[in-house]
Amino acid sequence: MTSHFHRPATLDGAVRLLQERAPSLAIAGGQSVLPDLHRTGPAATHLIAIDQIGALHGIEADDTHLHLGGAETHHLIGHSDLVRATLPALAELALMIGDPQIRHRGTIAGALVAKPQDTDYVAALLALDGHIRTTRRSLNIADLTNVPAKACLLPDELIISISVRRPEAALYQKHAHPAAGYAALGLFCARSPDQTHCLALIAQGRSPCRVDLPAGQPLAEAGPDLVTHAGLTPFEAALLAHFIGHADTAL
Amino acid sequence: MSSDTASPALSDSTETAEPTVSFDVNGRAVAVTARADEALVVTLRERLGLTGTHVGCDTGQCGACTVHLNGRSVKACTLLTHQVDGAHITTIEGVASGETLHPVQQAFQDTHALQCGFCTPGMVMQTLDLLDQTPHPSEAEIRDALKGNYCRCTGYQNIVRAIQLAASGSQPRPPASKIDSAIGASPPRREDRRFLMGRGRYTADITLPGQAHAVFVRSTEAHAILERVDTRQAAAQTGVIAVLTGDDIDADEIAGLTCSWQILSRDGSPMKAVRRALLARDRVRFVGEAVAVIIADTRQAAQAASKLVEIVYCKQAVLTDPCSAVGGPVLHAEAPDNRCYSWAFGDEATIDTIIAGAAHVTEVFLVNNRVIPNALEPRAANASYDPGSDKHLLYTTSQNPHMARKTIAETLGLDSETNLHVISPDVGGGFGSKIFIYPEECVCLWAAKRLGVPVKWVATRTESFLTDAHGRDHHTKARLALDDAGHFLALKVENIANLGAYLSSFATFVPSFLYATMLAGPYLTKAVYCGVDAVFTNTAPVDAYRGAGRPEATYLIETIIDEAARQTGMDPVELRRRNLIPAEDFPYMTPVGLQYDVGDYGRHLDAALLKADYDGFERRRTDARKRDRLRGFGVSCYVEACGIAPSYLAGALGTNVGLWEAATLRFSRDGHLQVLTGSHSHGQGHETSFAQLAAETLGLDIHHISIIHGDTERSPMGVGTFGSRSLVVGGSAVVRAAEKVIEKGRHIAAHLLHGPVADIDFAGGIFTQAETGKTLSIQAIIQAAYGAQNLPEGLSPGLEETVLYDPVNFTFPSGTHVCEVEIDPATGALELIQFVAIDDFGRQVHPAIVEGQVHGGVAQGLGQALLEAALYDPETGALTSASFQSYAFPKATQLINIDTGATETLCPHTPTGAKGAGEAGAIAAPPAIMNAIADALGTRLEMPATQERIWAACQTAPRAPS
Repeated sequence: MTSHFHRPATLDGAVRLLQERAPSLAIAGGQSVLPDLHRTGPAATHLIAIDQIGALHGIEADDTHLHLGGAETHHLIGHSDLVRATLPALAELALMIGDPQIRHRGTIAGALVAKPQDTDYVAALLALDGHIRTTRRSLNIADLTNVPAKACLLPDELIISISVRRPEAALYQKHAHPAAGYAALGLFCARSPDQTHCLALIAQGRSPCRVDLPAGQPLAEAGPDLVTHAGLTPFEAALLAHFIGHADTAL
Repeated sequence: MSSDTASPALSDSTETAEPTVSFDVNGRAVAVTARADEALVVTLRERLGLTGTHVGCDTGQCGACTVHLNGRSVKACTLLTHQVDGAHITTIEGVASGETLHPVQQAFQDTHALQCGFCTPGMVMQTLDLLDQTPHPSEAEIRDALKGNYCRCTGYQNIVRAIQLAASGSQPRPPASKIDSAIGASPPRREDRRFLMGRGRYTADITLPGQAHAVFVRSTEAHAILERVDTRQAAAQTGVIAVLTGDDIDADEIAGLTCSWQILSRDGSPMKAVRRALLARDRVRFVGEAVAVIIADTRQAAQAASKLVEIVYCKQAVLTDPCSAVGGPVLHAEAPDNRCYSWAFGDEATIDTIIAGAAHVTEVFLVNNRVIPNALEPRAANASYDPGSDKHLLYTTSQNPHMARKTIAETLGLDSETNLHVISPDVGGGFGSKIFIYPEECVCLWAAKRLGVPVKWVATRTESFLTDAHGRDHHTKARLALDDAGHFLALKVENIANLGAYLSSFATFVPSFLYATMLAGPYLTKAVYCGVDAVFTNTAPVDAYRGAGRPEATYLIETIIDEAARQTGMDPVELRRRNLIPAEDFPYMTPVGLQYDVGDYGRHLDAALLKADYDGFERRRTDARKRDRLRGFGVSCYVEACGIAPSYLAGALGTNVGLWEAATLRFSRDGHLQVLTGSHSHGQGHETSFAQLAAETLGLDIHHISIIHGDTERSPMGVGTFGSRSLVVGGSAVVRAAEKVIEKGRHIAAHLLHGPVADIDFAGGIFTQAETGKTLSIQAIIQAAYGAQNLPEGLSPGLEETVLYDPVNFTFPSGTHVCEVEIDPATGALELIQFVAIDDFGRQVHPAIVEGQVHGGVAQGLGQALLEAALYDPETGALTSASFQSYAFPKATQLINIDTGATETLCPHTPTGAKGAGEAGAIAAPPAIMNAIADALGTRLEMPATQERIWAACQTAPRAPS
């Protein structure tokens, strides 16, 4: 019945606690897990706060990629000068998540673990060949989205950082659920330096999908495949067509 | 990535179950023990007594618990206390400088940006964060920043204004030496300070010594026979005091709750007045119905034990669709066809003859969608019993504590209602849902006596969704007969009203008398027939929600008029104009039993159309079409019956309860006036507007007046707040009592001035002898009254008067709301272009409060029209929209500013000429926006007109004619 709180100082310490204490729950920003925890009531568990572990923080860019610490908040990603300079669409995406209070606490890794199929970041990661470095291995975003993250990630495995390719230009568009605010539909469009395009789509409750287009091909040609892969309703297909039309103009 | 180094404050050795956490709150270092899984909001409220931080949901969404963590806004419900070790926390209590409001707080007060005050602390904290990061935000940035702060009262409009004012850096209004509190002025609300500073006192904030906590075990089945309720394991848990079930209630011979309005069916038989057990026995009839209650030392222990109550159900067929009720699975043996009543009003044969001979008949089927009120403060109770005095005490979230006292005392079988003391402290919004008597509050009182401990219960948001009375849910077929000139000859309405699984307190009254008597609307319709089948289903009980009956009637009338206009090719405005009751026809007797006393409906129609530039609309529509957008313009005229109610009428309509309101005016010997009222304020600002009435009538400074409400021992008589009745019934009682004070004062003045009473005039706080011009101030009279050394013979000392004011008629506010929308047919996206509300509320005592009521009412009306839908799974009877995650109501980003205005005809029978303003927005807005959408699309949609529904209509609908 009694819970225990831990605040490990290091990543090793966190992993050791996750291995030795069961059941345990890692908490970064807590924006997904804490409402669930409080709604379902007290449970005997070890609560392991990882939000202040230095190894999970940091935003860096090299010539080709942007690297984000797993415990970086949506707020910091959205307002990071580096992100805004190198991948502004990702900054905008981060600022479309939840609300200001949630963005001040919620983290990119937390979002990926809580909603591995349809958090906004999945669209960006899928379009930008996202890599996820964990305490055990390096994963492609597809590894995470193909199976639920809770099944994919081992009990003692933490996401350390996320890396994405730097496109020449990109745009994220979202149709927010009118109550919850999450992305009922989200489309990330990216143009690479070689003028090819990637379009990645998330649709609530369904598997995300991506379509690549060779240089010179209109974005609209990605539409039918995305509709089929994601199993969109006619209404969602109309929204998608609207997104693609806007991306065509904006990119 | 940065290197893996530990900050010195961190170490791997931190681990204990309830260790101490040290942090800084509002500049004060604190060290508290906290459970490992304890949310910061719990620590702040329960361990540190900082109750200004509120809890409005259980999904981390509503923002009422917003605080600052190291200077940034966060929700204290999604943060573990142990995570803030070493951090700086700021709560609403730390915002003001001493007793001086922070400029943001001051801006909220100056713009009337708060009503019930429950969301206010979170709003202020979020605003401070916004202005820190974005000192000069645009309106869009402000609305976006408020996405995580829900308000149900204000429609956000004045909150946006407050933030703009604060951002402008203009100096706050200097404190005036004398505040203009005249009727028609808008003095600063006197309740605002405590709400803005986190000093409000809501039921959940109240802790009684030794209190235990109640958690209810609720049915997960919509319809089932209870085969077994096994409480043994739960009862054996540490900290559990008792687990009580329906059997225990039965053993104490408590029969359950009944409905206070008796309705007779058309065949003369009484309605099926089924009782609602406080805890289910034998059978459950909706998901969420309380089956057992755990009383434990802590809420956590009660919550944990609640999972161990074993309930064995024998599932029964589920009925959620009211239109399939007759012949469906039977809920109550007393009502074998699931009908509570089958009621009718009007002469059906005559109406049928008129319809058969009419030049044109328009028919509509429509659904007035079920909505969930969602006051931001969940219901709560803290109950105790004193065996020494045989007295029960209940703190509760009631809009009408006196009615609660009467009904609960009867339900529990107390010797007298005076054995129960009910206190409704600050209440965070109601909108009708806190009028009614629910089982939980009764159970807490009963358990407190039985167990000898105070029992506290605070609903979770999930419980609010499942068990607060829902609103609307009418399914209606109607026909409007017109002559060839477009005059309304007759309206025939056949309505199925879903009452839910049990009868809530006023449930039977809403779809019958509150609905049918409004079906003439503001029009000259000659004949009206209304038949209503009120049915039971396996859903939460339905009762009055902001407007109650009148929104359903108005939606029907205004929809069928637009439909008739479309069918006959008439302009919808012209069709209305042709049928509006002319101003010279008042008083006007409707065919549905009401006598409208005064109004000028054409005036507010004209004013609204002018303000909205109706003449320029077709040009705007053409412009929009060039951009591939569909524009629509919708009009809604309404009249409503407020000031509920003349007791003789209420009696004729099925209740034995008088619906007067009481006021006591009591002067202290030092000249201060206490006004004790039976009306309750939960956002409406009575502490200000009632004081204005007393100040104006008696010529007093408003500073010398205090309003006391919400306490059945302090205000011994009362009814409560509903039906836009507070100011027009409760306020009228204040004025009448003040007049009695003046009358007694005149006798004293005449005696002191040695002349006849008839020679004494009173104005502006001064008694004047007409002949001599000699004066005595009211303060001198008070001195004389209490000094009692020189009073007229036979006159009792003191200055205290009580009046029970019973109105002679309803009041009839009216108005015209218009809405203009633009739709993108490619996506179904709807843009609200403008919303204009012109209302005739009679004299406005405090126009800013009135405007705030319109903003909030329109916001709730827009919510019903565009977003809100309580959805039950027809197979399982589960409420699928039972959280803020799934049930959408308007957020700051989903609303625009409402353009308000007023016309004025004075109510002839209220002392101030006021008519009531609380419900108008929720009544008028849904048809205005739905008509605008229909105008844009050329076809009518059902509410809520979601983006997907609009898009679907765009794929098939005929476009509006060019």
